[in-house]
Amino acid sequence: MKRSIIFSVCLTLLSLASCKKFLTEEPRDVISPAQFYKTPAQIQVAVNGTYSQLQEYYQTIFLGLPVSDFLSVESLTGYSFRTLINGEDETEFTKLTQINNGNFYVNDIWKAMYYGIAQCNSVIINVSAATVVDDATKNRYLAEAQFLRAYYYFQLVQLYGDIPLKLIPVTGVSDAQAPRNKAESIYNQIVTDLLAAEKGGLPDVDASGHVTNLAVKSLLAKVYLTMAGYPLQKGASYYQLAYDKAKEVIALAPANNVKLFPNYSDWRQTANKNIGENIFMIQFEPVTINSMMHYSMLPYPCESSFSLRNDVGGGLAPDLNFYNSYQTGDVRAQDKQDFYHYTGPTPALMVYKYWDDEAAKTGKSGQNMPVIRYADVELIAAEAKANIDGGTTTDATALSAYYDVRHRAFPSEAKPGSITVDQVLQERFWEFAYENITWFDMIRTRKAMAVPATTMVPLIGYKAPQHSRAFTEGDMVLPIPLTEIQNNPKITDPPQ
Amino acid sequence: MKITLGQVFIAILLTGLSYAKTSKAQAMLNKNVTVAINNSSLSRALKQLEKYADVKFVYSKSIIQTNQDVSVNAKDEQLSSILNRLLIPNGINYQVVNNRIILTKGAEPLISPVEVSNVTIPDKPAIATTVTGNVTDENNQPLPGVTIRLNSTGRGTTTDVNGAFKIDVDKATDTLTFSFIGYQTQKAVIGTSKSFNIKLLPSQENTLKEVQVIGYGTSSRANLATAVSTVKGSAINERPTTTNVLQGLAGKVAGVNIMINSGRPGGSPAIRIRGNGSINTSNDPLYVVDGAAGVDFSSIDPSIIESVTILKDAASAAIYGARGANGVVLITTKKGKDGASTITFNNTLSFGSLQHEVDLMDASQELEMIKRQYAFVGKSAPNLDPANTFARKADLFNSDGTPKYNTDWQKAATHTAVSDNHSLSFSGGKDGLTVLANVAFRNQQGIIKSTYSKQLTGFISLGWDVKPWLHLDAQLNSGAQQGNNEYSNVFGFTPLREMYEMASFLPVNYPDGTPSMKGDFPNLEQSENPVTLENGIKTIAGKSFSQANFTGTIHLSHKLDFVTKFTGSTENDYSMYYEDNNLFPDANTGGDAKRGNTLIGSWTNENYFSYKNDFGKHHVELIGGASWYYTATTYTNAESTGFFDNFYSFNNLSVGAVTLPTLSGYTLKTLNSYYGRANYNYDKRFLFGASLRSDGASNFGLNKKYGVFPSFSAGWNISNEKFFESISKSISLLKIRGSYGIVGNEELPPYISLPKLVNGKTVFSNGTTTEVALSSIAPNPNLHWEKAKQLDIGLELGLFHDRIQFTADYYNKVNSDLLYLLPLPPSSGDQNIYSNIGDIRNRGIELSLNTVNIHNQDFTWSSNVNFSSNRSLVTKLTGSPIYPFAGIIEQGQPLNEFYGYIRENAFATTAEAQKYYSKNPAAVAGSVRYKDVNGNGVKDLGDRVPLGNAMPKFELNMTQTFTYKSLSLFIDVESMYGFKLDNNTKHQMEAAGPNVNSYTEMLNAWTPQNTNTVIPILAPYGGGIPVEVGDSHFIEDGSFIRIRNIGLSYKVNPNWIKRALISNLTIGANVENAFLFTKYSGFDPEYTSFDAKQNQGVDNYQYPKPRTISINLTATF
Repeated sequence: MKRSIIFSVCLTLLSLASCKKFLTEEPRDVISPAQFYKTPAQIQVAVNGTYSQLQEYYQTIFLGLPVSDFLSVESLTGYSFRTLINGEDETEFTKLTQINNGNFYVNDIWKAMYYGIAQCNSVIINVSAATVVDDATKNRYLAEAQFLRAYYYFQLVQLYGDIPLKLIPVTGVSDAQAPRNKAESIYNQIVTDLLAAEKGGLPDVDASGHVTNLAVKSLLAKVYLTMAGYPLQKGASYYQLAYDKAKEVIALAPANNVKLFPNYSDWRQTANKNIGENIFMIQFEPVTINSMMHYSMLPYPCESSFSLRNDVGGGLAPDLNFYNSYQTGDVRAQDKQDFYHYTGPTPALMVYKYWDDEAAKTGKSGQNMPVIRYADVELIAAEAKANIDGGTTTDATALSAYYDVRHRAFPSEAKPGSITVDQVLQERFWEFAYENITWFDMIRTRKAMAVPATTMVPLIGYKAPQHSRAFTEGDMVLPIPLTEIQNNPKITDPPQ
Repeated sequence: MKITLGQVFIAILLTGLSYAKTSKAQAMLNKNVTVAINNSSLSRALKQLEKYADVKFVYSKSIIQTNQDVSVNAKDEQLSSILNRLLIPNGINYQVVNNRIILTKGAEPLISPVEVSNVTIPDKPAIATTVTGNVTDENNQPLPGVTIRLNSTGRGTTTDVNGAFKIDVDKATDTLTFSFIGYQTQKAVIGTSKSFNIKLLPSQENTLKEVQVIGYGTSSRANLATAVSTVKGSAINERPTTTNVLQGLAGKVAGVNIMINSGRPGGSPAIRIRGNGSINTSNDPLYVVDGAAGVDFSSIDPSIIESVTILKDAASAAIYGARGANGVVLITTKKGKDGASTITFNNTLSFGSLQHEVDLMDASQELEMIKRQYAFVGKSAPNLDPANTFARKADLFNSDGTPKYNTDWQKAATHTAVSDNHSLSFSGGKDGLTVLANVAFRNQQGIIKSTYSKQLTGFISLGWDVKPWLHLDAQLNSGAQQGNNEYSNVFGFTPLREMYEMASFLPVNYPDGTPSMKGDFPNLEQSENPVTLENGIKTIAGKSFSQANFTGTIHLSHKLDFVTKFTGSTENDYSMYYEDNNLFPDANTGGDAKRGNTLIGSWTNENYFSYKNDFGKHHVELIGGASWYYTATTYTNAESTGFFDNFYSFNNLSVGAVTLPTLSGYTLKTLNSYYGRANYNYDKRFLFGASLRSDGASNFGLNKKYGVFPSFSAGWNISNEKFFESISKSISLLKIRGSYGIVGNEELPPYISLPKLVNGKTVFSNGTTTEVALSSIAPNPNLHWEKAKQLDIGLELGLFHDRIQFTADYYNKVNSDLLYLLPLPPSSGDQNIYSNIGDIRNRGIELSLNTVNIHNQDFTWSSNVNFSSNRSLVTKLTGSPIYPFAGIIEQGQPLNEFYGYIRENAFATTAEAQKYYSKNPAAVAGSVRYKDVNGNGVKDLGDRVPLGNAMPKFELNMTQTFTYKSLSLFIDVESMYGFKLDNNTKHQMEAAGPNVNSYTEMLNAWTPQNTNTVIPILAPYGGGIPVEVGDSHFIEDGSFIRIRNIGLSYKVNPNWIKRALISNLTIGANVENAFLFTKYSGFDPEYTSFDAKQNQGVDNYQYPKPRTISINLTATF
């Protein structure tokens, strides 16, 4: 008996030995920040991560429904509609009823962009401090992150106006809550980031899809152009900055084989990803990170013979008035160029811009989404110069740039002797239709193109064909999302 | 096929066993033996016979004289003949028992081993004397079938129809034990009596005197001051189709709400003990099996359950500290009993079918709906439009547009599910060793074709008094389970969903053999029909598991024990999925195959001292100890698509043209605890208890690893007071008690308090995908336990010798520091952070009443009624309200509140509708109208209001048992009152079409002539104003009364089957889910997700619960 007592006591004592280590957590399938940014490979992986939110904006949620942030913003123009409606959140955009701060897309765009910004902030801080990569590599990495942070903020500031400016990673609940900054300080930060990225030693072009020097300059030209217009209205000096920057791109183009593709279908060919006219694109591949653009643009219902995955479509269909605004002879409006007259059992007019032959056969699309095309840079140059020159220009660079784009649509048309701002703007409506560009042109110029008449009219007061009412001042920015208001008490403070 | 198999199985088993006994004895005695013995002593002769005949003789030398000389010569002579010649003349009798030949004094040989079915071999078999007697009940009526056992040998008999018995006894010091189900067991020392008149008193489930399992040991129920309920294993298995503990527990205990959520085979019910206390973590109780905490209850076959004890209040659960906040379910498995070997066989065959159908449209009704939807946009429906020549038009419609088919898809997609359950159990013990072995097979078919669940479990339990100071217990439970679910393909098109939504004018198959698809009719949402889906998708999920439990109890003194327990378990979960390559929509990707494996390994170690002592009138029970818990989980998931042939199914993923990324992960969780408990009572009148536990868990913040959980209880057993003696005849028990304690909830995933980087994928155009590190999830080093503080006040009352037993409890439970995924503003770049915020209060009462209403010789009627009522309130919630699906969680409101718009009669004019919908051109006369609650004239978020609660106001369960002689009728009624559920199925189906089939009420839609209706005008998809998710029309009252079970059983007279060695044979017939009375328009209102993800009571294409008719047979040998 005595022995057994000793035995039990020993066993208990053994068990009671201090076990602090027993409760220590060491995850093995997720890495902790303390262990990160320690090797060149980790740093590269983190930099790659700054790109991931780009896809988010175009990512389509499919439960038989094509829905994405892109489709919603595009339908704000009033030049498109949906045949497959997914509730009021979309109607608020497509019909321009009253866009609520609880709207899913209002929340989602905000979230997608700020997540990208948080990633960039983390990379910029940590890579700046890293010692395991050489300075040239480090500067290149920083330039990529700076470009992307600028891009994310540019999207946000155009859509929402005054927003919180965050440049360092959030660490907890307290610094998660921040007041808004005035739009102007956001624009200034965008310019700062892009100017820094310009000095990062990035290659002019890169077929792999990473940020390039030309992409930085092109975006900067667009930012200047936007700052010249609404809401900052910085005017001529910024048009000049935009013009100069666009000219830099134009000057660098020939050496880098950057030029317009001969045919409209060329930009979307797999072989042309990230080269030629495609200055900056969002990358997709068919298996894991695939594009839903092809499917979103299919008519609904879609016949099985037409394209695989005929279960979807109806995400965005062109408004007939807008289609009719294309001038006679415009190649872009011809069948199977940018548009398609589908004549199946359920006839439809559809956007053919994102048609993917592979996806139609295999059900999987790896097509890239264009962000900046060279045509855009050319028209930026033309528009900026026309503004600098008081609305009409005869500047040779501007004329050539404009004609380069125009000529592809109207091969037999002669080069004009002068161009007006409105002419360039009209061209932009047609050239960049359904490319996530039109709405931003409309709000920075405060002009709309009355269709099918094609006259340029003030945006405020214009009722777009698909809308239930005319645009008002209140429509120029989206509301601050409800999720932000609910969880950030400082967001309602006056902007700093 | 299954019927015959089952029957054949029983037949073979029954005959086999009875045959085995007699025939073995016969075979032994018929053995031909050649032997030559000349003038040898009988003992030597017997030894020689043992050698030549390969038999064994057992006898007592004090009774059987063996020194006389005998001679016997035999050549190929039967052993029986030899023995007759050798023994009978010497006045020695013999009989064969369990392979041995027992020699007794007597004249005639006994060949048939009567009344020895449970015999263990006696050391001294000589019969000293025979005693007789009579057994009566408390009314002096004879009791037939009473089991009488002789304690020393286990020899037994039963009373005959007149209550009389006769048994041979060996010695005067022996004891007879009289036992009968429902009566208190009695013992009588033989002494010099030759005749016994025994009166048995009914036990009346005298649970108060029973020993109660309380976690880390047992206590006398009478001396406890906490709220603890026990359900016996027999009650768990009362409904014969029960396949797991929770199904068996449903409705048995007040305050324990169990929702049988679906008719899915193996489908797991949801359990809530005293309401929901947590928003973001688990609301499930802790399961403790034979002292091992954290066991998956579904691995315990109901047939091995001795009892289930539920610790409801904090004071009883506090000994489980951080894991006790949602209550504790203690499962005690059966153990072998010393001295009596039994074999029990249970066999159930059941037939399940759709209990009722939901009111969906038939072909002509659906076409009428479609016609009106097309009319809304001024068009003709495709079947009526001559210009529309869609492919299947002629196959589906007559020339006038009327349908050729009218398919009832609820019928087509379901079938009669034939299921069978079997269990076989062996139990016995001897010389300080007890054994129980159980094997159970449960094969459940679902009423949705191709769904099934099969489980095979083996269980063995050993108890061994190794030394006077050491007792060992070992349990091994091992098994495998597999099921095929009706789960979805990528678009969520399940056979269940399509059973509701498939157009009724489509056939299952066209005459050419092709199955119909929904898209065969223009503009219907494309999908396969449910029958195609049932055949074309396999969603197999299964697991194999084993748990070993090894407990040593060292008796340091007769007052002090030391218990050390090691438990190890492994579980291998797997899932296999394949979707045929010709199925929509994956015809495009060519089939989809997935496989997943999860391995879980865990061990626990518990060490504690247990002390019990009496000091005069002071009774003290103490325990104190420590425990360690470790569980590691790892998983791998793989998927590939693009199969040129369905042959490979999920068995060869490399055949798929596209291989998707393989996923894997690893987590580890550890717990470490120290605990102690003291129970004290003075003279069994004043009861006190206290416990304290300190728990540490790895998954909490660096600064808050340990938590401390105390509890106190006190009670007064008034009926044990002197002044109470005079009325103790009528009031047998009166006890009041109160308790208060704090328990915790630690059910959080590992690593959530740590900062970490999440990986993802991005792509660059060199074609390769690259890993990325996404931004850090904000850390919270202060993350700690949820705490549940609970007060419980109870009353226990027993009247007329406990013939009426009544228990009442009031509780007030406040869960504070709720673990909550606090949303961060999106501008922070992160979604949320786990924080401790908010309080929820649950208050309620629980009443239970057990009565024996009638009890006489032939007829007994007993009832069990339990009632519970719970009210919840969110007393504190930091930040803004939380909006679960169609609901709200808001400070000052009950938990599980539905939230949304109030539907009113559709708009009478377009002007009114457009005004409300902010000039939306889609709004017209007949558009859906919601109440303008805030009166601002337009529809906005301010028009939303609470729409009712998902938790019942009260719950009432009643079981009535009527027994007439050997016939027993058991009726089980379940009711829940005053709760809502969201019929989201209806919401999906009543969205604007023409898209899917719908409820017939859609034909009552608004028309200029039919304006007094809440159903909006029928409009095509996208043509009208969509209905809201949170809409009072879909939030329906779920109150119901269900005749859950009607069971009839017949106990065959033991005398009739004695010859077949069967001591008990019960045959039963049972109807489960017999009748349901409810206004709910879906299949079944007893439906809740009850998950911590906040979506309470959302009916989303539920799997209907079948009405199941079963036959059952239980035989004990």
